[in-house]
Amino acid sequence: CGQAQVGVPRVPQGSAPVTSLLSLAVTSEQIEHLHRRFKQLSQDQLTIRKENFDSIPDLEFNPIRGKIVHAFFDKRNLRQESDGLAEEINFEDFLTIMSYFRPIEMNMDEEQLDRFRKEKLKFLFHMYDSDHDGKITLQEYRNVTWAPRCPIPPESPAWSSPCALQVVEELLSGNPHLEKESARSIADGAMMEAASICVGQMGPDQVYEGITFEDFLKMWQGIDIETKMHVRFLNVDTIAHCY
Amino acid sequence: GQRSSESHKNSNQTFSIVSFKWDHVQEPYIIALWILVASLAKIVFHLSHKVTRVVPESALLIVLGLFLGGIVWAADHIASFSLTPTVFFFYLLPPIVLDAGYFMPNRLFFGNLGSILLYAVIGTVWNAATTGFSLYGVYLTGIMGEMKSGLLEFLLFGSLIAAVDPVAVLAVFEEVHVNEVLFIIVFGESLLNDAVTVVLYNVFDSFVAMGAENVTGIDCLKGIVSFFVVSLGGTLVGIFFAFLLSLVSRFTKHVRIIEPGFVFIISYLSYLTAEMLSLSAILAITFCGICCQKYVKANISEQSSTTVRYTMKMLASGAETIIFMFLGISAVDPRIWTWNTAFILLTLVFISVYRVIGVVIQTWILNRYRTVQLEIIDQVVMSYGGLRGAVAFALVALLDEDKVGDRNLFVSTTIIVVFFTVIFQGLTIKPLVQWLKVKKTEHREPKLNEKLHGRAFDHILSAIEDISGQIGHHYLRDKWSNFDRKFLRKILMRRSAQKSRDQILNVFHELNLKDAISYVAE
Repeated sequence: CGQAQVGVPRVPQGSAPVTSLLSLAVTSEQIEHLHRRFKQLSQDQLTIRKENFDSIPDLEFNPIRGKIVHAFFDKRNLRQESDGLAEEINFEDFLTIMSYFRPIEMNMDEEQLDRFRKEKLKFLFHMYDSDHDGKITLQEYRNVTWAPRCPIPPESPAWSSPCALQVVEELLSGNPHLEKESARSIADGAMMEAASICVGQMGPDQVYEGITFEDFLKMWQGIDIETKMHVRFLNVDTIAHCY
Repeated sequence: GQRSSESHKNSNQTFSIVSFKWDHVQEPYIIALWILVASLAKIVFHLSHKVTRVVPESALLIVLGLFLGGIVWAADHIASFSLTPTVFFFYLLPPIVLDAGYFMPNRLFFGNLGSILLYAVIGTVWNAATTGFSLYGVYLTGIMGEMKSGLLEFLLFGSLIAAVDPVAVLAVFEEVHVNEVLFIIVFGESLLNDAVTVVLYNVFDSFVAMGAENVTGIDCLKGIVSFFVVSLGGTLVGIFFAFLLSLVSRFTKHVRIIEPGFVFIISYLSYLTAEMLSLSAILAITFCGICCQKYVKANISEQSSTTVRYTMKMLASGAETIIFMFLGISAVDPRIWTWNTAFILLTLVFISVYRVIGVVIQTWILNRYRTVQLEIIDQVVMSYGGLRGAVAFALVALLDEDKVGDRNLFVSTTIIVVFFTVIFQGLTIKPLVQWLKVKKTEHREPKLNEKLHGRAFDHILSAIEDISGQIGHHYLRDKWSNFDRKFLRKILMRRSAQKSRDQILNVFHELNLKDAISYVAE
């Protein structure tokens, strides 16, 4: 239910059989549309690399661009057992990432809903946890508030160089005058808030290591991420809606 | 007045130390007295929590009005006070609508704009047409007896009784606290349907005046065109004045004391200008409020902002109180009372039934395109919350008896419909909402993390939309906020405001302040 069986979808060359694609709960029409887009981005190749994302003009102004593109190649999101970054991804991987943004369906039960929610939160968590150690540290949190639009990746030592700090685009305020100090304080404040939710009152000598995934889940309790984190287009073909 | 000239004559004989100059002050005195009575009534109502929890204030005010009207009638046998359309449209309605627009949650509003427009335009046309035609159909069967109306008059009546009323919706929903999406859809609908109501009313009013035989196809076409002109024109007038207001507020740094005045004057001018050009005045003042909010709030000082807020709320609340009370008073006017059981009963039935049908059909269509679905419970609340109010009454009171033979019947019916929806539906909507377990608004402290991640979401979703090649909500919102940042802000906001205004900073400062206070308190 919730999937329109519109004839036999054209199976993209060299990718997994349709059944496994449909298990991602996107309809075959959406698969076709995304496949067309994939071919556009990859310039008719079977895989895309990071550079291919540069061809999207509107993405350039997005402050979180780096992290999003990174997320596409993050092996943890691609449901592979290994860790680290993939060099290139094929259409199935592309679809896997897109499926994180599908909306909730009416016929989901409690368990499915819970799993759904966890998946989305896991995606977010991976985005923030840039060094893949399973914890979001204060430094990583600071990177969330202050994401310079600079080609130097956060891991490299050149990160703190003046040029990196000059070219700036705030992730959050969209306000070019937000100072680095304010951004830092906000990150610190948010981290403290997170700590207080997850750990409760901390003693003066306790150190909060970082936000683990369980803590992250706790932070988001009570907020419907399912209704917030989805993209409109995935709902265009909700013809066979079952109550 | 006469008295003073008389005393002038007498002054030849003696100098009167004090004189009673009633005629001199009569008008403003009576107005002030009525306002005082209405406000005192509010105090009395709120003395009893038990009553106000169950009965909506609007209902209490109507009943009070009926009572007062009865007294005036018994004393004088003339209905000397009533809610005249002029007073209503020029003085009482604008503050309420301005308050709605200025404090409109823009993001929520524009996020649901598609749904709101569908209900406002198609829904209202549907209600008007079905009610008008059904009443006419029943009239043809003869149950209603002798009436002086033809199809056009019925359609005219249908068009004025069809519209959901913003004042009533605000008054009732304010006390019910449904979730924000539901509220914004019903409330947005009540505001935006003004264009449709204005057009339909004027079109049918002129058709009735022209006579049914003279109406040609061209006239109908003109009617349709006028809808677009009225609605878009009204919106543009509103936007223009919003631009003006924002620009002016940029330069008021040295006249802080009168800063709040600009907000009211310029918004009121937008209303009057639209009215002058026969465009939709409600749309004008609504969009003036919606568009200017951000820039005005950024530009004016804290104290001015507070002043504007409280003055607006006071005016709106005061106007609402007066409206409901006078609705009650105006009802006590035996001159207008015409009773036609079939007509009145059927009107009530038709507007309720057709509203339900309309809501169900439109929701079914909308759910195919909405990301957050509207469920059955939402539809029930939307149908039940389609209240009629003072706008319908004012429109019907404007009808000319010579042109519309059954004017008095229409007025009586409208009064009964308004009373029914406001009192009966207003009374029962709260228990209904509780019984159906409608999702309520969550009063949560704004968490810094929430705001932080909320912003990150916008960017993520926008990126996904770009990557997948879709033009969606986030794409549009992104484009708008880029445009705003590059051009609008630079023109309309003070330089100092451009730097420091940020929602997240506000939350952050608020939380910091709380921490500091609690630290000191310890």
